[in-house]
Amino acid sequence: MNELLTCTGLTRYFGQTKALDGVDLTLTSGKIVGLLGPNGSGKTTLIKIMNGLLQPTAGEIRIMGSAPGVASKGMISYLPDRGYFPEWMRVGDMIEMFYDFYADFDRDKAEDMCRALGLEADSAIKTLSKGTREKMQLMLVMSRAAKLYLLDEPIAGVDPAAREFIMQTILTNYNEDGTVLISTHLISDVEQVLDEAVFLQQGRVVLHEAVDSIRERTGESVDALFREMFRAQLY
Amino acid sequence: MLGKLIKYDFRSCIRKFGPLWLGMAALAVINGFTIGHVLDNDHITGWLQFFAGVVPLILLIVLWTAVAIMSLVFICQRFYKGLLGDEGYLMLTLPVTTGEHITSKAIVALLLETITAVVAVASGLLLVTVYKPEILGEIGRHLPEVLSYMNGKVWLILLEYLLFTLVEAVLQTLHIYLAICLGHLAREHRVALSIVAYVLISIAMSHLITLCVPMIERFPEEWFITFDEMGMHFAGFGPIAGLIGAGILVSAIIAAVFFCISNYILRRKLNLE
Amino acid sequence: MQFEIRDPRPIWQQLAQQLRERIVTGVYPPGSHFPTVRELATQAGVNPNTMQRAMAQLELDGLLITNRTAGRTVTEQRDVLDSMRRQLARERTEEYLKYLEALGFDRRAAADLLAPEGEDNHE
Repeated sequence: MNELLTCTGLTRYFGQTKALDGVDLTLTSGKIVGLLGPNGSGKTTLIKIMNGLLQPTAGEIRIMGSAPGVASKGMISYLPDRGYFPEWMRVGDMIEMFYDFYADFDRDKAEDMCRALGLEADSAIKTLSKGTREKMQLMLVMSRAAKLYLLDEPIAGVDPAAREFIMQTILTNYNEDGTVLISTHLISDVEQVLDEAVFLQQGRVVLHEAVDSIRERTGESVDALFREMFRAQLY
Repeated sequence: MLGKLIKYDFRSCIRKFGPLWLGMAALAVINGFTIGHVLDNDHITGWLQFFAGVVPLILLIVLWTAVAIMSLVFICQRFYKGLLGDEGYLMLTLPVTTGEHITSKAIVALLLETITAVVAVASGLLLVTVYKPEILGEIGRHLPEVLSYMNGKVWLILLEYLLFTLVEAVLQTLHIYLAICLGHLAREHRVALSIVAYVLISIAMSHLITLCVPMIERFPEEWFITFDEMGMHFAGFGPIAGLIGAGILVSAIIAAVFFCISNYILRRKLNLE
Repeated sequence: MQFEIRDPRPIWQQLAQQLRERIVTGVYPPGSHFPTVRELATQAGVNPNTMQRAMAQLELDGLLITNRTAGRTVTEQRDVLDSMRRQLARERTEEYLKYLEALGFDRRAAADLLAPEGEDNHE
């Protein structure tokens, strides 16, 4: 298979706390993968290491053969779990910035999506509502034909209608040759778009399997299996 | 990619300071008309004179001070919030190196300081021009006389000193950046610790300078000043140029060290909240 | 019409099932163009790979014909469609019988319930 990303023994401490504990994970191209785990299981830490915002304490990560760096950042489209727009920017500045820095950015697509949302190029970003800003951030991220999309909790804290909009935006825009990694603890909303599920528990990968294979093997949905495995932490 | 980073860092700078620069120039022109109420009278005699003459002058001084303070705040804030706050999630995942980020921010900081200085001088001239154009004419008449004293070597020294000022300005900026990066190493109280780091670096630098002074004192005096029956003479071009050159070199080395440590922290020790 | 993914069977199987129903009920008439993987995946809100797998199953069933140039079309072979129709009916009947068995009806009693009201099935 065409390996896109491999982690071997990836470990990260924060002071005395172990956020990641020897993660071994291989992702191949052309998949939508769910990174599933309760809050505090290490999802965000793992994603930050993948895009070079954090260095592992031990272990190794390779993205298309090399360590995270300028080259991998050009191939990864990252949606963090927070708003990141500079307060001085207008909508047009942001689009121009993505166009300037990312060779795989489809400017027309982004502009069309912004127009559909009723955003003018000269509207100041700080005047937009939180929900609109989140949508705009997702649109920018999904307007790239990236090799790897890292979407950190894209549907946390939004209402069901917005969730559907978000999942549809992801599905209709991602580059099918690339891989999408979606981290979430809301499994039922994403299960049907996933090829594979990765369960993260206390910084360890406890399961990595195709969704339909999980359903075939256990006779349960991934959501049900997840609830069973993480009952202790969820309640 | 560095050019593109500078484009956006500079754009954020223009959006904020463009209006302020224009404001400085506009207030200077207004003062050119009103400053006569203050300068041409021995004392302020009435409310009208106070409002027409003193108030614009106070506004001008307040604005200049404010712009100076805001520049400093801007330099700190663009680095702290732009790279180590939430914006860092955007900026530090762009396909550029951390070194390019620091360079871009430092260049724009230097541009901001330079433009602000130029605008300040220009608005000073503007004020004078509006107030009493003949003063400018006077200066113009004396200029050739002053220039006649200047030979090539003096120009070179001035140029070298200008370079020294620029390097010092960059060093100051990198000093701030390093302090912010060191503060980032902590998990809490990052701002307070940045300030502590800034003070500690300042102390370390002044110690370094005190170490250097005895070295300069050991240079023979006649390198710099000579005496003969005509009196005291500066020894001339070489030693002074050398001294400023040494200052540039030392500052540049310290700046490079600051840059490298900051870059290492951003690259290897980054931990955005 | 909506795709429904609500039971724990593999998702592609549920999609294949619902696509079969659409074909034999004439939503996609015999000989007509069949939508692309991407269109159907978007409509169902599922992963294109999963939809692909469901459609591959329909090709295996003989319900879909893949042309190299014209994409996929629904088969025009009556016998294939009829046998699928029967298979779906049988599956649904089995489900029905299983459910009634759980309620305590044997097969005969279950069949009686299917008779039109007022009529008597007994000879």
